[in-house]
Amino acid sequence: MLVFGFDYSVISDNQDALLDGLVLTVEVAALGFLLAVVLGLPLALAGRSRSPLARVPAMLWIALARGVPLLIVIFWLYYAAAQEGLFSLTAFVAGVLSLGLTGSGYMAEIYRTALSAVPVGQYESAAAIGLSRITAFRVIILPQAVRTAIPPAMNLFVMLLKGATLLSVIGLADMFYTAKLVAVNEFKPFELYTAAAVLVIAVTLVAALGAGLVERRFSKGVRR
Amino acid sequence: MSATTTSSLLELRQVTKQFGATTVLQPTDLQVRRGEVVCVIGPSGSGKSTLLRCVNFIAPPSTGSIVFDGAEYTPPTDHRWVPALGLPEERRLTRLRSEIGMVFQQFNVFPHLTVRENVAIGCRKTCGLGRKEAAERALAELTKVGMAEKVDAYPEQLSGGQKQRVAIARALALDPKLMLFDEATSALDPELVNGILAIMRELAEAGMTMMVVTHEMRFAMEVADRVIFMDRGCIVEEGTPEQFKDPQHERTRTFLRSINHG
Repeated sequence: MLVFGFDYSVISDNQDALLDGLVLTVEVAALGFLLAVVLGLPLALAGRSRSPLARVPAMLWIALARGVPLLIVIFWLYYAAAQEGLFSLTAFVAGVLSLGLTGSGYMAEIYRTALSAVPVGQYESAAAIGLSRITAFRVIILPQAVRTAIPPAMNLFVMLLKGATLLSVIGLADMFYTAKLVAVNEFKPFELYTAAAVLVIAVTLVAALGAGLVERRFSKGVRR
Repeated sequence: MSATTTSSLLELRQVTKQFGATTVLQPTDLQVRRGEVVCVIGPSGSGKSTLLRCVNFIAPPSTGSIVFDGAEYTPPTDHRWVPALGLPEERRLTRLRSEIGMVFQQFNVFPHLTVRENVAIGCRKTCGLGRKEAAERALAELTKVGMAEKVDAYPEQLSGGQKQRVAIARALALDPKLMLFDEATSALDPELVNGILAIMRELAEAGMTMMVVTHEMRFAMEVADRVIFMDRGCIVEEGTPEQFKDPQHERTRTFLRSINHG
């Protein structure tokens, strides 16, 4: 039982700022996720290649993307690169890139397992009707793999969304940044951080609904 | 039509297949005439399926070559470092496969496509038909195998026998010169086997060149022009069904006895 009152007014007073921040958080996470989805497929294919020229760099990338903590990637892209005069990015771009690059490693693994889940017989019968490997991949293999990939990809999106809250450390005025600001100014950390958590959960739920719809679209002809 | 006038549609020349250190197919020579029905029998692991899969390079032979309709095909070079270099060769094999239909034991229909699309996809992507023509072609082939009513169903809604009918229609839609049947009835419920065998029989009577790996001895005896018995990666014995009533080799005799009383 709470021994102090929960002050809703501090949330409703700042609700516009919080929601603006939430939009930014979702934007960064969605763009980062999109980047991961786009990068993940060639990475997964290169990782499955027989040629070491494709496989070794891809596996290195995947290992690094999954191994380096997101916070370090963020700092590296935002501060370290600028300090060395390599390039300088806005907090938004640095955010999208760090989420996308980290996510690409996970996404590649998601594609890889999804592709392995397509039975060998599908590859064989696609070849037997004279489809080239590229066509077979595009019209037979990938649509079946995508179906398998959707639930774990959804997990990744949630992970990136939660990871996006880290971007407040480089001053991205996202939802968590706003919540922290208000929490400090108004001295109401419990209210604000709870609100922040609820907002993230709300987005996660909406995303899960969306993923369900997409999954149904790709599940034609498959018993659930 | 091709330039060759020989009656042999398919010729295997010293074809072998190894998986690592295991030799699955010993050097094998075989000729199949146009319109001929060749049934391949033998115990499991004898290399029957491998033989069939070498013909359309689903499992490329390790050595030897295959002459199909006057063109020779050799084992593809292993471009391990730069696989893209193998594309021209791959394209040639893709063309070969479009002239050879194959029916699998496990049907391998495409679960995410409707029955119609399963058949039409090859017409569209391989023969370059438009969406509408391909759909018409698919319907025509599906009608022949008695599946016209199921064109909009997904494979998941079909029985094994129906799936296999779709798979046969899918192969025939490409107007192949040779049909390969790899134990097409082995995964079916006994009551569904005869329907599929009847389709195969009709196909044979219509003059299709066929290689049939099967355990259905009655089918082999009645439909085949030639029967081949394989064991341990070798063709042990071949002859007409008549000759197989009194096999020369002891191994053939043992095998036939075992399946007749199995």
